[in-house]
Amino acid sequence: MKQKFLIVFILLLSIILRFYKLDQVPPGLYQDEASIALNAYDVLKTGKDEYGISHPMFFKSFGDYKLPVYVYSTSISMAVFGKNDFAVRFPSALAGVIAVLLFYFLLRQIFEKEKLVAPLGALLLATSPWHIQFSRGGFEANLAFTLYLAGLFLLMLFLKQKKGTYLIISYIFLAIAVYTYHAYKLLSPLTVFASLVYFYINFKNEKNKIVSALVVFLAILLPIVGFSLTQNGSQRLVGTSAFNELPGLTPIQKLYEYPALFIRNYLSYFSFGFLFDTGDGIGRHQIHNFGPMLKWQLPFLITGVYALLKKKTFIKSVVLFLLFIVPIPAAIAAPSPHALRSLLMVIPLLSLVTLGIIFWIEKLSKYKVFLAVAILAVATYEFLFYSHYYYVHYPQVNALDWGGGYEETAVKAQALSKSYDEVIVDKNLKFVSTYLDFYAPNMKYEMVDVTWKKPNSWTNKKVLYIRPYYGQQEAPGIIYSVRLQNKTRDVFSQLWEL
Amino acid sequence: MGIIKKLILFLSIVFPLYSFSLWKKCVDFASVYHFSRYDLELQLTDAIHTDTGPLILTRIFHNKPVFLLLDIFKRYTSLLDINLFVSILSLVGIVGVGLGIWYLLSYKKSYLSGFLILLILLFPLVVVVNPSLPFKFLLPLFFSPFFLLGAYGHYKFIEENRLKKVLPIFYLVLFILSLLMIFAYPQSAYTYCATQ
Repeated sequence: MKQKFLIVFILLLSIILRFYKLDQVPPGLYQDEASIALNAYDVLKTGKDEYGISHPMFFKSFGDYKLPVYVYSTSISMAVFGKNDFAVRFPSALAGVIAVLLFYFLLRQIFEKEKLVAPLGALLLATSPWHIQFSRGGFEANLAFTLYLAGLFLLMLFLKQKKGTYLIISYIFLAIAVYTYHAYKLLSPLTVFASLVYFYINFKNEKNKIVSALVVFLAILLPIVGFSLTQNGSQRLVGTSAFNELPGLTPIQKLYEYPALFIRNYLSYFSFGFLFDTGDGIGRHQIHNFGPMLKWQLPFLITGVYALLKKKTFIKSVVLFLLFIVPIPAAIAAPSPHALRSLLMVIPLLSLVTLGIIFWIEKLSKYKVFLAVAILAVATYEFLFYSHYYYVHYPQVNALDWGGGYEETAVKAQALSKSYDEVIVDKNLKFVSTYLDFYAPNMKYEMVDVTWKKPNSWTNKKVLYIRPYYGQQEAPGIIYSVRLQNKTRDVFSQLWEL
Repeated sequence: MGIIKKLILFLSIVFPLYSFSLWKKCVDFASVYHFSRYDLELQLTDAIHTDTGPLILTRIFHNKPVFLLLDIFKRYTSLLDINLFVSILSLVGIVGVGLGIWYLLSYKKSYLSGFLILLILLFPLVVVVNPSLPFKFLLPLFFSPFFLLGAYGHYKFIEENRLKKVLPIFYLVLFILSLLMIFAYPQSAYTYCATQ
């Protein structure tokens, strides 16, 4: 009964942390979110993407192809909430809350005899900066994370109860994760393979159920395997490959340079600097001076490793499997480390922190109340510190990482465009076309180079010219300056009348 | 211990020593690892500059004690960077350190082991807070405990012979991977140290 109240409290907490001011913090949709939003809305209204392809399985985007699951989820969300930023982020936020519940149930399956592990682990995930950051943006990786977690939980259920339905549904979730985020093209098959090895050793009497589930998994993956072998489908891998950093190598050099780079990238995911301090340095992925994990968790993470190695083989295997395979696809890509691609690491890492906390509470059982209060005090202070930075500093400091200014530029341009004959947009405002198509769909415009000048034939035409800020605070012709929400209110773009 | 095991143990000690020798041109750890009062004040000013809302919150979250702790923590965790350790000790050394910690903790008198491990984990603080110590003295001081722990870890692991016939293959793979890292990054030390 107490655990039920506890998990309800933890779920409410995760809902608040993921949905409070979801459309305002982070400030504005970044370009991938805007692209998803545009495609989702087009598919909802017309059944076609922005390139006119009907109900596509893969969506052409900036230099690669987006996977379909998050786009279609956003279409459903927009059908309910309308065409706005909240609807774009809703699927990820909802997935974040469901992930907390799934993590609770997963830990209950893995650590059956230790009652404290599941609720403590769920609380840590609910308040994890790593998970909150990606639950509050339209990140496909976060939805894939939840789908994978569902697959893993059902796999554990099958191991305990041997019901074939659980295994089939587990493999279906793992397959859908492949259609949600690129990293799972490797993670899901590796997980299925590991489970097959385990079944071969321990589940020889359940062959029919295992084969049925495997056939379903492979059948679902056929289209994406076929697509990945095409030039379009392999663009993502080619474009983000870590080995692009080593051009012009001879075959002999590749023999040692490539593995060495992979090892270096792989090890970077276990760096304390990455986990607890600077993160991966990408402004969208964490807050300045905060890593994906909270600093107070470091000593418990270290102790948790020791506590885990004392556990039974099965528990060790599951946690260590996740810990060591997750960085593999992430290490093949650049840059490394990368907090988004390695999001799944939060599961084994928080499991270790949980074990570490319980280890010390049991070890110092005489002082367990004092220890629990001390941990709670430090954890609460650091979490409030993080929340202060997230809601107060982050929207100002990292506005540009989140497309700050684009929405206002598009909305203002749409409002003004009715009074103008032509709308011209400087190409140096990168990605602006996606924002204009989403926020100002009825406005016709032309993209031009920075050297563009008003042609003589347009002498009698009123032109609205949208440009990035080139340093002119005031000049005749500037009718509106779009300013960022930072302390100095820097100019992002300007609308000129020509 | 047979000849092969002795050879493996010998190489397990040579690799970290060779890797350490690649740091000979370094004159100090990079400045990011040393605490700086000036840098701390700049961080605090920057944080206060972007803060809005009640003054009490600014005082609670942006004050010298908290920022001092965070700054030292940042530099300390930077020094526990696994790629930095690979640069100083090589992959072989890192694996040895992991094994060494495991075997230390396996001892029944775990309080002594725990104390030793705590001492090793606190050594990086010497680098963080004492930049005036000569580097020629500081680097061996930083390196020695981890080297000794690594050598001990390899010795116990080889002696215990858990992997049996797979042991030579395990170490062969480890040595090859370490060699790859050394060939690919012969100057990796200069990522973490200053040469002038």
